[in-house]
Amino acid sequence: MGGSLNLGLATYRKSVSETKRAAILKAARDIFLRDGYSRAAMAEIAREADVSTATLYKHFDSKETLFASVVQDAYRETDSSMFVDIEGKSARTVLRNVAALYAQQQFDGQMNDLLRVVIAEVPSAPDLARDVYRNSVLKRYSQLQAMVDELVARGDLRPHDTSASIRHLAGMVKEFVVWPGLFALGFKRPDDMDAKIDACIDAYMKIYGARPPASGASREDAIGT
Amino acid sequence: MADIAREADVSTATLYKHFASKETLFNAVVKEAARGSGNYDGLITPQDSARDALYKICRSYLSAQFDDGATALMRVVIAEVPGAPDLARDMYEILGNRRSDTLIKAIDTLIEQGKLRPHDSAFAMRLGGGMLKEVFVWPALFDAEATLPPDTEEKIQGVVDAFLALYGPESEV
Repeated sequence: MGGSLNLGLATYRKSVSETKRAAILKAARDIFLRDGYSRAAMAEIAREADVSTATLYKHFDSKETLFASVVQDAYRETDSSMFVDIEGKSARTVLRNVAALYAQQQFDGQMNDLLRVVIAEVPSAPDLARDVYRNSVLKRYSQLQAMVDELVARGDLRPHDTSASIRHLAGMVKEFVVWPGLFALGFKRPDDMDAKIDACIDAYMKIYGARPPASGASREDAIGT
Repeated sequence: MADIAREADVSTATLYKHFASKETLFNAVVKEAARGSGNYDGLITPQDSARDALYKICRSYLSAQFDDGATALMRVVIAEVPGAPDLARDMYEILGNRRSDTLIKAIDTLIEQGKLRPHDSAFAMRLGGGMLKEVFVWPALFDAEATLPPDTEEKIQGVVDAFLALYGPESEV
């Protein structure tokens, strides 16, 4: 009985700790977006999160760790809804959903602003940006590639170098969703965003989509002759 | 500005005679870096195939990006977006879309020569530019020491293949 009481207490402590962690991450995100990385102060983040600096440092041992966690958290949250079961959905629907969620995060989730903070710090904090690139950007690429590989295996896309093609897809979408936003403060989602995204998906399907079998001889036969 | 004058071995008076403000000076630095790199005239000859022409355009774009420090300048501009938004907006056209009008003109020339099927070249420039930036510039934005990767050749051809699948003479409308 004492054991289960202890367990209850442990669960309670864990939940308090998780709540504090979430509060810290949210406060840190706000402060980093407002002040940039260099000027952001840990003491102020603690104040904003309503925790002691001791608690803050117990969760994140440095400003660098904290910032990397803020970015990773933002990526993870979107990734979990982006890369879902593709069964019963057409390739176009699957890719459109991924792009739409991505655009939503860039605009509504202020991801463009957060990326700007990362890029600004490349000369002064090179490890920070490298960490973000490895743990967030590359990870997302690999998840996207796994999804596209499934579409290839299913026959929706023709067999191709998917590690290259996912970058082509990401590049086309970023051209409208990220690049203008990196250079413009408060760049708002353009009215024709959905149409632009559809055009990018159309382009991707045109390049990598499965081709209808040629009449008569198969493609392989045609190449063989 | 004092530091810049010292480095250039001129007086601050001379510096300000040439450039009225730090903003004007920075603007000029970015424009200077982009000079020539956004000029694709004369790069393409009538003998070039569409693939050769597109390859040359990509190479020229990347050499400006990596040899002339355009990525580093891009980072400086991006860092200044909250502090100097007007400056950043001006610089986007130069650095982000490196003179899109000349790129569009180059694509139009290829269409006129029958090497690409007629299409919306302004939109094609965005798609092609987006792919090229993603493959080469995006990773470099996060890494001050980034250089062109060893498989650059193959990666450029991958982007050119994709572009030709969209707009090559045999591509479907």
